[in-house]
Amino acid sequence: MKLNPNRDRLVDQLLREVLGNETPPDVADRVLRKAYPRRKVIFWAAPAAAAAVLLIVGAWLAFSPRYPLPLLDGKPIEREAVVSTHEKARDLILGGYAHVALQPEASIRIKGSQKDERIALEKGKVTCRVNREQGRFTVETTLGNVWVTGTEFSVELIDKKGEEEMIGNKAGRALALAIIVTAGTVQVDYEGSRYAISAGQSQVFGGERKEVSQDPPKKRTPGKDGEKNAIAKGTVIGTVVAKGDSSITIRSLNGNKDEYIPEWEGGNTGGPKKSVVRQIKAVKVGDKVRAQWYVNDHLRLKSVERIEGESKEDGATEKSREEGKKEEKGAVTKKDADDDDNGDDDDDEKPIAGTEGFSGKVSGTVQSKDENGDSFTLKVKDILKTWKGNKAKNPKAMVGETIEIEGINENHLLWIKTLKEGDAIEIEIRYNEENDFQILELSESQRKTIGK
Amino acid sequence: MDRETLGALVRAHQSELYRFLRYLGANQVVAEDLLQETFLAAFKSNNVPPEESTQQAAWLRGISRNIFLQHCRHEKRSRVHVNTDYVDQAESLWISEFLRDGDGFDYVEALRACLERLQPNQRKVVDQKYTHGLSRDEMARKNGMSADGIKSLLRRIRAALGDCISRRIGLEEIG
Repeated sequence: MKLNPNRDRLVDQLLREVLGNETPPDVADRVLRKAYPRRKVIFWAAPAAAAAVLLIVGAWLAFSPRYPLPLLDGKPIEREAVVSTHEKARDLILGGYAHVALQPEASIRIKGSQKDERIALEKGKVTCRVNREQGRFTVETTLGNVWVTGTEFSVELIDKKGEEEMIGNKAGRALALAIIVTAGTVQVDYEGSRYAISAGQSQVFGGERKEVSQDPPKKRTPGKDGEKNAIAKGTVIGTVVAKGDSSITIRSLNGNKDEYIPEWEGGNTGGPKKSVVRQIKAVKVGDKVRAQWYVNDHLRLKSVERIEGESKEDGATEKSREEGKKEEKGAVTKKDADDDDNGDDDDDEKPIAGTEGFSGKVSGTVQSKDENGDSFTLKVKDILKTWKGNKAKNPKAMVGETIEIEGINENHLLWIKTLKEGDAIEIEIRYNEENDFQILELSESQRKTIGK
Repeated sequence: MDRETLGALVRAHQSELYRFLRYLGANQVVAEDLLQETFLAAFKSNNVPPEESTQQAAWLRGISRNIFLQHCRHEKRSRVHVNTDYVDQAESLWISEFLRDGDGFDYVEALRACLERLQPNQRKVVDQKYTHGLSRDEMARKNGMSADGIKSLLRRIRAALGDCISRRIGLEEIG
């Protein structure tokens, strides 16, 4: 790893832009005001000044570089034109910065205006590559609009077999909208909510709704509480990976991990909504769940229910709210006593009491695997060994608990791929400095299973 | 320079120049002020390279770096020790790596791709810092680490991202 201070600052600045939404200011008006301060125009001069302005604008329109016309397979095409493909794909370029590949059997209408290019996708699939710094680009569909904050993605309207006329029917809706993002991020407006889909992710809206996980955005609105101030709402489907007294962390089907806190009730003197707290208690780490959420200044949980798993009343996670009271054995995770329940932090987990610094070998049963394939949950059956470097005071506290174990190199990830739910395994693990369990080393037989 | 030409000049170059000034070490407010000064200096000059010339961006960047140096000489609280050598080296990397494709687009796209390859724990820390804007102390508390530990960890992650970007855009041999 090369430490180069200039590159460090460059990456730092770009991260502020890419993740922190720091955008360059538009100083054009301010510069022009300073360069050309206003002067008083006496009454009789006004008509002449207006004429001069018209002349200048006219000249500018006549001689300034023209905004590129839409090009279909390299030839100009009018806006509002409908473009359909049959067996062959076609290429459309809008404004010089939005490249749209119409896949076979697709149909679009060219819409939009200068620097705000749009197409209405009426049928089929388009793949888009956009230089977002040159202008906006939106794909409109009957189900929702997809607009670019990234660069490369595809959008497809999926019709149910035998309902080919669905688009033109009374409802005017296709059955599903499928979006695949290759590079950057796109935003999707769907049924009144906004979703962000990042590179490497795909999402289907509509159609088989029960299998669609709507992940929350990372953005928050400080100081705005209550569902009425929500900037996004949705239903996430995923696996519980951690729980606290009044928080739950879910890894979604899309691979995103977020911590949710219950809705608030009772204003300034109130607290987390009791019915939601009860629902959190009723699910266990490793359960597959469906959870309704909304985002304001926090990521709030409206409800959570188990879809799959062996959940039962989880009294083991009950513990006192008294500050400083020692965590009971069996509590998998807890929030900091002084934590301000900030929904932004997606992984504010504490180790099982007495197991901090663990290094050794455990046995147990695989409960679930992360969608990304980089971790799995294990219900610990026994502590088989502890190594010299072990610093855990009470490793046995893990027994009976479900823990998440991460792989940290390519071999680990390959081996995790081979795991199945219910597998009885033995594995060497340790706690890292960020309070996560990670694989320490694979055994010879485990390496053999991945051909290493 | 007429009003329209000046407006077009500002709109064409303000994003890159702002990013350049931030990269040199200016905070957001200072970068915005220096950006305006850069264009006002360009407005007063009679030597603006033609729009089609590739020299126009370099010429404006030269103005902005001089204005940044002047600012740092007056501002003793600058967070980095700034002198001509420092700015020369920074600009050299800016040109050879970031502007390798002309506008930095490939570099930003490579960063996005490399972000996706971070380990979940690394991504968590990066999001805490850049997406959610947590302070180093807040991050230290949430991650059970010291503030210095967070600082080192973020530096290591940025170095890993820098290496990853270099590989992606074919700069493995540089730096």
